[in-house]
Amino acid sequence: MKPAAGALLAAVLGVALASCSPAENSAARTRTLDERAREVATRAAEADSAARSGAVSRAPIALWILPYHYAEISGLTLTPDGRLLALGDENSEIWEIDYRRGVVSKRFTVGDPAIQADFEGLVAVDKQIFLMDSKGRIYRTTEGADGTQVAYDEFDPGLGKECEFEGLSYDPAAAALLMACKHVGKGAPESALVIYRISLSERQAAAVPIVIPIGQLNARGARWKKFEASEITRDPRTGNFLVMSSLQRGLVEITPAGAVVRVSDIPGNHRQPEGAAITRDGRLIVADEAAGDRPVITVYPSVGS
Amino acid sequence: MPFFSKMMDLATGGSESPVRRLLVYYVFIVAITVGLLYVFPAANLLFSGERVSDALGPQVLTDGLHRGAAAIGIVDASSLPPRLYMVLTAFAVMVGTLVLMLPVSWVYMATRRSTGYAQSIVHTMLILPIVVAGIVLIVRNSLALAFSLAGIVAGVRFRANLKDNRDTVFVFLAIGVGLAAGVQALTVAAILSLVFNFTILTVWRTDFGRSPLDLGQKVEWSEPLGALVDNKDGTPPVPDRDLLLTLTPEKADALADRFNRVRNLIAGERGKKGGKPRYNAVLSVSASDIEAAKRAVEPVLQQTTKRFRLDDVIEAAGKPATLFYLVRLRKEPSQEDVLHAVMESSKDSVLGAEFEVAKDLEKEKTEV
Repeated sequence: MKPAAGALLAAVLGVALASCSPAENSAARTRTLDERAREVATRAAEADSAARSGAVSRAPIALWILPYHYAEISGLTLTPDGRLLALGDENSEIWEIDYRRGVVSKRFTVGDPAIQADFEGLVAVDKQIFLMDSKGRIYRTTEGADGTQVAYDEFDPGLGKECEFEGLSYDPAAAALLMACKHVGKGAPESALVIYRISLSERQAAAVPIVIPIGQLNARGARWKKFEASEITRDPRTGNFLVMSSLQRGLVEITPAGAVVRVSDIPGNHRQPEGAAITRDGRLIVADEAAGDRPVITVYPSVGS
Repeated sequence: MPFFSKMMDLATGGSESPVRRLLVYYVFIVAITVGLLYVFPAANLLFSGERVSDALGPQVLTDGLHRGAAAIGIVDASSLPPRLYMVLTAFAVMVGTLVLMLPVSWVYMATRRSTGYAQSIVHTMLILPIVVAGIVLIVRNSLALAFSLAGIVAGVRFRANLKDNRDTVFVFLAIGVGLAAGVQALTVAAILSLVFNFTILTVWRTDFGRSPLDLGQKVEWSEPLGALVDNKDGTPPVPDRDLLLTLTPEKADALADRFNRVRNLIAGERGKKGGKPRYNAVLSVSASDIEAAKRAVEPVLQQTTKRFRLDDVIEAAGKPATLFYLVRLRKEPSQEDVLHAVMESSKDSVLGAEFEVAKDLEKEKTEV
């Protein structure tokens, strides 16, 4: 081989090795992620400042595009220490996502082998995590380390025939899980917003669910024929619950007793919002399933008005 | 292609060394890729192996609000309409696969030139990875799709007996490159192609792992045989390099004797000026029963040729025997008629027959 060819080969190898330096890449990654966190904080501060002066911003402060693996993201919840957990629809995989920096920090699976079900809801209650499938079956587990498979137990409140569920939250005052109906089966008008309470101690549904007729929602300015819930989440600042509908693109805020506080559209332009969570500082996080594109997590500065 | 060849000649200084030409080709690919990434940062998705990293641990997400995300290898592809993105991805993956498999096909042809190769394998090598990449793109991460496709593919009975294990390796490589490209890890596909090619070339050039014959004999014999193989003196190329290098001195002598005998009989004995050859053709007869074939063929030759002689009989276990007749043909009947008569003489024992005529041999010799 001539010296010129050797030099060329050495140059190519040098560039390749330089670009593969793990330490440098790691440092660059950390720097960029810190920069991201600063940018998100700046946008949030600007939105808060605008809100104080009366201009409520509906523009997101962060928007994270997830890889294909997370296409079926269907539930969000925040742990007591403020970390965001997300749930995959069919494979019982739970992901911890740093919503300030845009990183999937860890992934663990419920069950060994993983439970196969149509998961629709996720909520963290102290150190426990509850998952719910579309038939209302509840799975209780705990948080696992990255790459692990965690044990679980399950119970069926027997609501499978009542409605198709999509959305799970927790009411600490009543120590009960709240399960929102997407499609009402019987016992309530089809167009109504129906929410069941499950006492954690008794593992049974309350005798009477929360039923909010559609007329009550439309009286607040909405124009919906029905309200098919896709997520329910608790606002830690007020104790109220926010119910989201992917099909109606709407948000309904209710008190724990079931009184409607307000209705509004979901901010932004979402393909299929299936998960929502509200942080302690009032940021609204919305997760969109892929729906033919890429799954997305959007962070809004506030729940809106 | 002439333009491409000229560019390669220019870049390699006209060198025919496959190693140098491959090196230039890969450097050229790297340069094109770097340029592509510079102009279209989103193309990084094709090299990042995102679909592979889906299954791995901590993962940085694409920032949908910030365009500088490519700085740490994150690319915002959300600005493209999904269908356009899908079309561009599929197209780029398949073109990339082809670009990476081209040098593999060159290496395959170069290393098989002496022993011969099937054109179908060369074509398979180029097409198979494109198909595999397409399938992987379709399957994505869907277990259901994967099972469905497995079922469909199982219905297509694709079976090919490859004569050489090395051919199988080339087909495996084609599948590997296709898989890597399909999960959008073209970098892995490129490294696979590069390492494979240079390994194959090295193994081929050094004749690595060739089963040694007798050591003393090898030392004594390898140099003249090697000289013959290298063909540096302008003599005609050796058709089967591997075969020649495995000949023992005894076998090579016997073969040379046979060549000389046939040559003398057909073209006249060396040293005899103006010596007219007694025979001008060789008739080879493939037969299942040697004696029956002789009984059938020889009366025909008696009638149709000026003279003939049975020169040799080659027998191989499990295969038909071959009888070699040295023949002096007449002007009439023609050699086709003689062949026809030989074939008709015994359909039970004579399986086939063909002529090698001295004129044709002379012609081949002058062409070479």
